[in-house]
Amino acid sequence: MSSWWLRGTSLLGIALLWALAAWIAASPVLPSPLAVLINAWQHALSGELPYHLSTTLGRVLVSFLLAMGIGTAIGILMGRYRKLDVALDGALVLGLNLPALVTVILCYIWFGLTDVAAVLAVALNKIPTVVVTVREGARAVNTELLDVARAYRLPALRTLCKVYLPQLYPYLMAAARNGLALIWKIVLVVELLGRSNGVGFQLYSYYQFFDITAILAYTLAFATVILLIEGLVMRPLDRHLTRWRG
Amino acid sequence: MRDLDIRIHAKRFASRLVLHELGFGADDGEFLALVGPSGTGKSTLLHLIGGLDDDFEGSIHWGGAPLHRPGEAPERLGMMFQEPRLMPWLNALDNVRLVQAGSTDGEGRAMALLHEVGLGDAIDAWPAQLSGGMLRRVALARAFVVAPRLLLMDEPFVSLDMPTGNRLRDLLLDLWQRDRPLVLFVTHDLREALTLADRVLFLSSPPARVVLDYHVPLPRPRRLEGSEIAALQERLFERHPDLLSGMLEVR
Repeated sequence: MSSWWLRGTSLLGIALLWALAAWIAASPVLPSPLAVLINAWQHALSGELPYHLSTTLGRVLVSFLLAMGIGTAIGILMGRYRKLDVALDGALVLGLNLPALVTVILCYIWFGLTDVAAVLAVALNKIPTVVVTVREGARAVNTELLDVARAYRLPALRTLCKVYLPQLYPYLMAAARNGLALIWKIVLVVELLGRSNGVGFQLYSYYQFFDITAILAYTLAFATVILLIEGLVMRPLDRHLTRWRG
Repeated sequence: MRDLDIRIHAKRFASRLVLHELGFGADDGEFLALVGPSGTGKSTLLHLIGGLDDDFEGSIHWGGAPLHRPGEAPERLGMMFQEPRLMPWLNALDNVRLVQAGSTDGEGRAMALLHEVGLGDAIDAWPAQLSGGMLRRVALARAFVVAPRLLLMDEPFVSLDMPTGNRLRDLLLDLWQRDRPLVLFVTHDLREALTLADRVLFLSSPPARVVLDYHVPLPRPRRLEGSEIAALQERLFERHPDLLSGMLEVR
């Protein structure tokens, strides 16, 4: 539990620094943490914050699953088959370096201002980084362990689940963690550019009103959710999958 | 017709000939040791028999039919490698159960085998928590859990200290005498071969072929450090000084 205590103290320290800065600045463009918290509470009570927050989380979840699924499949194939790796490498470098904004604009223009286009744009931004990470893992796969599976004629599904994928877990976890961080940032941009709900849309509205307190309230709410996902899902999952390291 | 009939005309890596006109037969229940200088393709031969490599000229028959047919699982086959090769993310029991076909009494059989190899207290231990000798015990239990008819062993007890190695060799002989699979045991240690096997096949330096098929004349049980084994080894070296030149380094 001491790690939780340490994490809590560190976050509290950041909040205190913020409060101090707000107190010194004494300006409406830097509200205090307390003011932001109260603002968030009011938005939560009105039902507005939960609505936009859940809409955004839905988009994050769908594009996350899409990017992880497709990226993992391509990454495994590219790590396994040298020719495919060479053939797709150019596209991969292009994908890695294509600005998120370009993908988003093109998706909206080609597929319309829809949720499908939004989710697709986010996934397309994330897939290349998943591919790079998973490909690294697929290249490092231990063929001696796969030989055990072949010698004992294990069924393909069992080989995949018990012999192959466990070797990729560290890489999949890394891709998932980076993925979550990258995806929620891009989802906000996508919402800002072409959706009429979600946290990104709300931030844009409050930006036009110059309502810094509300902007920070939304940011705080979203950051809290991400911290909870990391603490309650990602870290326990990681611990469970690597418990054998002893 | 022997139960196992092996005729390797040629096995090449790139253009290098590794095995050439290598052939032998063996009967069900026999314990064969394959010895030869290091780097002579003993592991390669086991890979061919185990179906891990099908790029060779020749045939491997079991009971009159090809051992490996496409899309068909061969007769129950167990394999033990130089390293234990356990899945680090599976505990001892799950490592043994990994290779079992989905039968209902599978867990009972796996547990019984782990008890038999002396790991009754370590059933849910991770491989990272086990010693080298214990890892080999799990690998041995894994090899026997499929009730193999053919058991391929590639220097499975190499780099263990003498008492640990001896306990594992005794364990192997106990399990072999009970289940009676045909064992092909690769080793570069002539004394180990003479201690364990009914027959010892001597391979030449590459390209490897069988240069001597030797029936071990000693009754069981035999002791690796015993004077009989030492004397037998001495006699072999005297009678076949040229054939065994590749083995001299391990005397």
